Amino acid sequence: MAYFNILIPILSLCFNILTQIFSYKYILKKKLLKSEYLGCLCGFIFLIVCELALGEGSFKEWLFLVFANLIIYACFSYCYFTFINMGETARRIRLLRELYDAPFGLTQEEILKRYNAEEVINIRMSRLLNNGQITLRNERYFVSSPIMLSISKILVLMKLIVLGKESEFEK
Amino acid sequence: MSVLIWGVVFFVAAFFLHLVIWRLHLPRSPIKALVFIFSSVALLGIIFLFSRKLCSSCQYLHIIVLFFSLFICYLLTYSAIDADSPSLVIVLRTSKAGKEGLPHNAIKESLRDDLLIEPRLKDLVEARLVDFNGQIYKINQKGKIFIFPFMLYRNLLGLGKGG
Repeated sequence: MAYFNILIPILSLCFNILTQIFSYKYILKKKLLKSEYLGCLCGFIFLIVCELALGEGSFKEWLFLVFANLIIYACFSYCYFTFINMGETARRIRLLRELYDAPFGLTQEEILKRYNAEEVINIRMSRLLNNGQITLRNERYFVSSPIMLSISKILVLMKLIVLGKESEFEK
Repeated sequence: MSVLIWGVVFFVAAFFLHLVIWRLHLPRSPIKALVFIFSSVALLGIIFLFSRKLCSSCQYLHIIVLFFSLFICYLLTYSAIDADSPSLVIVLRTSKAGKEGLPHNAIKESLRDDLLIEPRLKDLVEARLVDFNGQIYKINQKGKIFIFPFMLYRNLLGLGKGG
C-alpha cells in the first residue's frame, strides 16, 4: 500500500488530463484556460479522496505524506499547464511546426514569411487586450490589470537572481 | 515526514549550488548543466540516506519522485527566465510608459525579427532539433519526436498552430 501512495499524484494527473480534455471539448465550449483550471481542481479532489480512502498510520505521518503528494501533484499540474501553454505561445514550438510542414526545409526568409516578429506582436497584443491585461486608448497602450505586470516583475527578479541581468535583450 | 523534508532539503541544496555555479560561470549548455547538478545532488543525497539507513526503500523512491517533480518544474521555469517572453516584455514596456501610454509603433520598432525569431531559430539548431546547412533549416528526427506530443495534443483538441 505504501508504494501505491507514490502512484496517487500520477493517477491524479491522469484524471486532471482526462477532465481537462473532456471539459474543453464538451462542457466549456473550447475555453482552454478554464478547462485547465477545472482539470487541475478535479485532479486535486481525486488526490484528496484517494488519500482519505488509503489513510493509514499516525495522523501526523499521514498529513506529511499528503502534503508531499500535494506538492508532487502541483508540480505535475504545472508541467501539464506549461505543456499546453508552450503549444499555444512558444515561438520555438511554432517554428518547429512550420519546419515540420516543410519536408525539404526552409530558408530564413521563407520562415520569416510564415512567422515573424510582427505576427508575434499582433498575436500577443490581441491576447493581452482580450484578457484585459492592457487597454488601447488613442492609439496608445496602458496597463489595466496588475496580474501580468506582477508575473513580469517576478520573472525579472528571478532573472536578476539567476542570470544577473534583467532581460536577454540587454546588451 | 522524512519524504517531505529530505525531498525539499535536497532540492534547496541543489538550487543553491546551481546559483553559486551560475554566479561564478554561466555554462554554455545551461539545461545539461542543470540536469547534471540536480541529478548529482539527488544521487549523493540518496547515498547519504542509504548509508545512515534513515528511510525505507519505498521512502527513497518517494523522495526521488518529489525531488524530480520539483526539478522539472524549475527546469520549465528556467526556460522562461532564460528567454524573454514577448508578452511580458510588452507589459513591462507599457508599464514603464506610465500615464503617457505606449505607442503601438514603439513596440513594433523595438521588437524585431532579430530579437524575437532569429535567436529562437538559433536555439533550435543548438538543441539539435533542427539541422542548418548555412542556407536551409530542416527539422531532424529528434525535432520530429520533440514536436510530436504538441501536435498530437493540439490536433486532438482542434487547436491551431499557436505562437
